[in-house]
Amino acid sequence: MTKRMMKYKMLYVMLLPAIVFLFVFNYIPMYGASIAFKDFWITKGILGSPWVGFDHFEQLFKTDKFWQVFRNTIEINLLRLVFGFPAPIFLAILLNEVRLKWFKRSIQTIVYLPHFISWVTISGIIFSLLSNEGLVNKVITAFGGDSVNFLTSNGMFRPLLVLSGIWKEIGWGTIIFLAALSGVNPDLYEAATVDGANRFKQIVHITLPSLLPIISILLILNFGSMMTGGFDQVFNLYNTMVYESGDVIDTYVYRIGLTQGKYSMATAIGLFLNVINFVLLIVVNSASKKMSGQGIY
Amino acid sequence: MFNRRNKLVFAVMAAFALGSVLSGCGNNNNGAASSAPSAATASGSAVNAPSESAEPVELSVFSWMFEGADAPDSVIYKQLQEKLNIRIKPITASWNDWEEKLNVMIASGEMPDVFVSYGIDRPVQYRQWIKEGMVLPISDYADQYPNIKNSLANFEVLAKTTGNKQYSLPIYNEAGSGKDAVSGHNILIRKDWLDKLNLQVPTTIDEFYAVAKAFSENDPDGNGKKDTYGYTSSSGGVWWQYPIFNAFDTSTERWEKEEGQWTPEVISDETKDAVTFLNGMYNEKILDPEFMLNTDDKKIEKFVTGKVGMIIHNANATFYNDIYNKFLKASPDADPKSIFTWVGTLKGKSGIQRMDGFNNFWCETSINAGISEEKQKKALELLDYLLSDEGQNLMLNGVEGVHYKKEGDKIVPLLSDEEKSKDKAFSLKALVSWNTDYLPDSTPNKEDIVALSKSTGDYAVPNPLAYLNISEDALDPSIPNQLNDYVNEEIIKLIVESKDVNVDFVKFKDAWLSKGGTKVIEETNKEAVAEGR
Repeated sequence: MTKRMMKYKMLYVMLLPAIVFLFVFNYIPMYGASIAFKDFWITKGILGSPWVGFDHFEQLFKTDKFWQVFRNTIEINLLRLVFGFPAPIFLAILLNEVRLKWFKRSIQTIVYLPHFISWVTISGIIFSLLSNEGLVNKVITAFGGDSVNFLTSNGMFRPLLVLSGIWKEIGWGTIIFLAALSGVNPDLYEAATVDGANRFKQIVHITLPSLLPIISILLILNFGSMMTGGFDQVFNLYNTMVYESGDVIDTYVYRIGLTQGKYSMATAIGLFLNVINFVLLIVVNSASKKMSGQGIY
Repeated sequence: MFNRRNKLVFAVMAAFALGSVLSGCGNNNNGAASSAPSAATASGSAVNAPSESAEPVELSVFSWMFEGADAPDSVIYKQLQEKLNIRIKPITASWNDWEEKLNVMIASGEMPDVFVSYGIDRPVQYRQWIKEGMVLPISDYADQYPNIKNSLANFEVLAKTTGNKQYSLPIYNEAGSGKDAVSGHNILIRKDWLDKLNLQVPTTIDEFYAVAKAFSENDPDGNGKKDTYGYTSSSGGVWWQYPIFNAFDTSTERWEKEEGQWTPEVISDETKDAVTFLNGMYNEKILDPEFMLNTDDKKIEKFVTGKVGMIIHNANATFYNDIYNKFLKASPDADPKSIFTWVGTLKGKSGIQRMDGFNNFWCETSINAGISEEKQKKALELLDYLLSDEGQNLMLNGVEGVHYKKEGDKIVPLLSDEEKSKDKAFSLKALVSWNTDYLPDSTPNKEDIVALSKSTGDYAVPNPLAYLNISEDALDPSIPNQLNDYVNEEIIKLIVESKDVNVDFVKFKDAWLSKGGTKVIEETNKEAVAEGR
């Protein structure tokens, strides 16, 4: 207890419930992760089950398709990062330039609504739009084209994932950026106008730099879910024809056996992916700190 | 791939839950429980007359449909309570997450006293329970409980896979049929299209092809556009097509014995022929190009709205009447029976009629081995009683004077199905049986449904190597899983993308063997010899 801590003791007391919560619900259950290295017996419990070392991991890496889905996972998530991550920033900046208050508000509301629709529903909408009998193909054939198999071609599947992901989350993503922009001092823009900067120059020199801290934080956090995430989306959109390009670790593992109560295996996979996520997060964070001085801790 | 089958039986059972009064035609109705509670009649079951002094024994019972089975005003529940001196504490969950809930309960050391699970159909966890001694070896007690013994005798093949003991009671589908396999699926076809094109219901695989071709090319709906397909599938596209594979005397998941060796049918020449057949249908646009995308509901929708002429689907009382009503809704003036009918089991290339059936049970009831002996005894008594004639009668017909009255040998219901279904304790029957072969007289279209069920059920063949118990040390169970996944993916690709099935099938076969197939064949043969199959 340093002098400083004593000075702010009330703040620390306020922090206490959060720390206790984290400890009880996030740290204590972590000992359960040990079953990734055990032959789990229900009757012996987590602590009493015999150790088996890296057996479950070996089994996982031996799995025939594992490396294919591993690569798919990384590639799909990189695509999401390259196209999906900048999209809300772009939209937020555009919205920020809109002068008509009512127009800006209604656009905001409209674009963030899809966030609340489940992937099950969205996949239904997408199927009825893009199937052979769907609206899009009706238009194509009406103009004399051949109907396109949007849903069953490996070339189309990843763009479909990325685009539908953007459509669903772009509005929700803009909220945080718009909030950051509302905190920018208007004097800066006035001064820039006086100096003769046009709207575009203002965006480059004022709006973007003001967003940088929040952008880098979100980017780092995004790397923390590089190996996971997106199960719902892929599971509801994919089919046997596009396993090659769209099957990710989550969906593959789900298909070949997590439905059978293989607790140890499920834990091993979760642990493996989260270790990668963790390492990525640390690496990206320290890189970011070196480059911009910005980091999440 | 069990979920399709589950859906089927679930539907049957849902129908039951919705209150189809099962009049026991052909069911022996001796010893109907008297409505006077004090006069408990001894029946063939090993139940002791309750003594006034003994406290009732409490049993927790788990299944997804026992909501309210212990309602204090339930006549059925009262009867059971008095008969067996037990108090039932139902634990229930929704259909969508019951398995998860059960697993969590078991993993956290709160296994229910008596519970319904998929049993041997989830081999990994089921064998784990056995290995850990968590479930009672029911067959060890069978001698004291004649009805349990009789029921278990129908499923001796299961005992082979779990060290010659039965650790649970399979919940049978069709009681008196003595069948090893049941079907419950069928090929449904648009009768109005057949009539329009002057065609007959196909009986052979060649006729199936001819009809499907006509359906896609001769404008059966008469709208002047070529916008119909002969046939479609659903749920991944492979599994539901098993009757087509059967017509080539093959399958994608079973084994056949050739020259004393068990070989997987999936890499046989017959499978190649079946795939060639489907590949041809796909290329000729007779097979719906999106057959692998359809959900089951979408498949039915395409059938009802006249996009496709034939589908393969569940076809029992529930499903038949569901589709019947959909047609009725679509065109209220037409008789649905003039719009659709069923094909039954096609004669195959070799002239035989084959329909891969399912075991005559679905789900199993297990008893917790960790409860007191008194409770175990009561749990066994409960199952035995429900299996007895008296118990079955109570569960199917209810209580005399309340649910039905007897006129000579005939049982006349006193309540409407809806009224009767208000008593949730009827659902307890599902601890021992589904009785899918008993349709109450009140079932709509009963005669059609009986004929429909017979048209595939009579040809249903059991899986010769069902539940073969290959030890985990000999063969990592995830290998067959991976192979299945590979098969489902590749067969679709062969059907859709192959330019020359002869060439591509060889590649598929080699890949299947190299991905662990060779090992699977070796271990399967070893184990089959050991189990004397």
